[in-house]
Amino acid sequence: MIDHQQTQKALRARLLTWTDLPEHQGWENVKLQREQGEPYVVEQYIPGPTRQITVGRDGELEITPMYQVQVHVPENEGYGTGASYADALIALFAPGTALTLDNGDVLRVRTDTGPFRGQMQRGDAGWVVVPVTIPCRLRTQNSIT
Amino acid sequence: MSFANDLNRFAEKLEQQRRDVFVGVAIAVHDSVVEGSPVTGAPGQPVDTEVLKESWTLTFPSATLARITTNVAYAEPVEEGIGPYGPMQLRSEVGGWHSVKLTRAGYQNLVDQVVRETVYDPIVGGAASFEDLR
Repeated sequence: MIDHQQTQKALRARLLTWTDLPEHQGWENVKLQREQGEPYVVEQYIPGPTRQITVGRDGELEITPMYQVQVHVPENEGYGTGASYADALIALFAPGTALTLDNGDVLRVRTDTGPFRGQMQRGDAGWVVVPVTIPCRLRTQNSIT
Repeated sequence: MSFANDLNRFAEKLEQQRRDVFVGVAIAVHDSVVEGSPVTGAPGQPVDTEVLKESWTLTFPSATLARITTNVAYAEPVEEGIGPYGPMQLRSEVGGWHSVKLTRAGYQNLVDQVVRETVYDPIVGGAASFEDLR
């Protein structure tokens, strides 16, 4: 059964195991608390499409969501801090990483399109942003009620 | 009609299908980025003045290379949803963020779709998709 809520919860739980996670975090639809000069991260869960990959009424569904963590670091301090945060995030969500959902389904970080970072961009005044995207794959049984 | 002629016709058909699949995939990728696609889940480009949407161009520099580009400077911030003053607000009624990366992640699904539509021969028969097997 498709359960995006549990999928996002599992990805966030993995992010929270990151020992270098900045003190300030922006979760979806929660007011962000941040301090000037301090790094922070913002999560985005991108649900992605679903398709049935095995035949039959109760065939297997494949869902391909993506998890994006935007790392905001203070501006005018060079590329190093943002880049090292991004590298650490990619290591945390290495291709093939398996996360078990509460319902027993297993979410995996994709290996055909592994985690990737984007270009450093100007963010809110005082920060620059490095987006890190983690493409995932979840297979689950279809359920027609 | 000799066996050699049959083989030649088959080879020509394969080459035609290869070209059709290549062009079809290039168009499907462009459409997914610009208009959105149920196959990749990409929402397409948000529209205000249509400058960004119209800027995405598909060209074929060679017979085996397709290039999809934009020269609009704010294309990448729109892709990420990152603005110079914090997260962007989506005001457009169509489109959204992350179309390029959703298209990239769903590329194989797009290829599968185009191959099914291109190679399927209604005279010879065969299943075009899982939908036909149900």
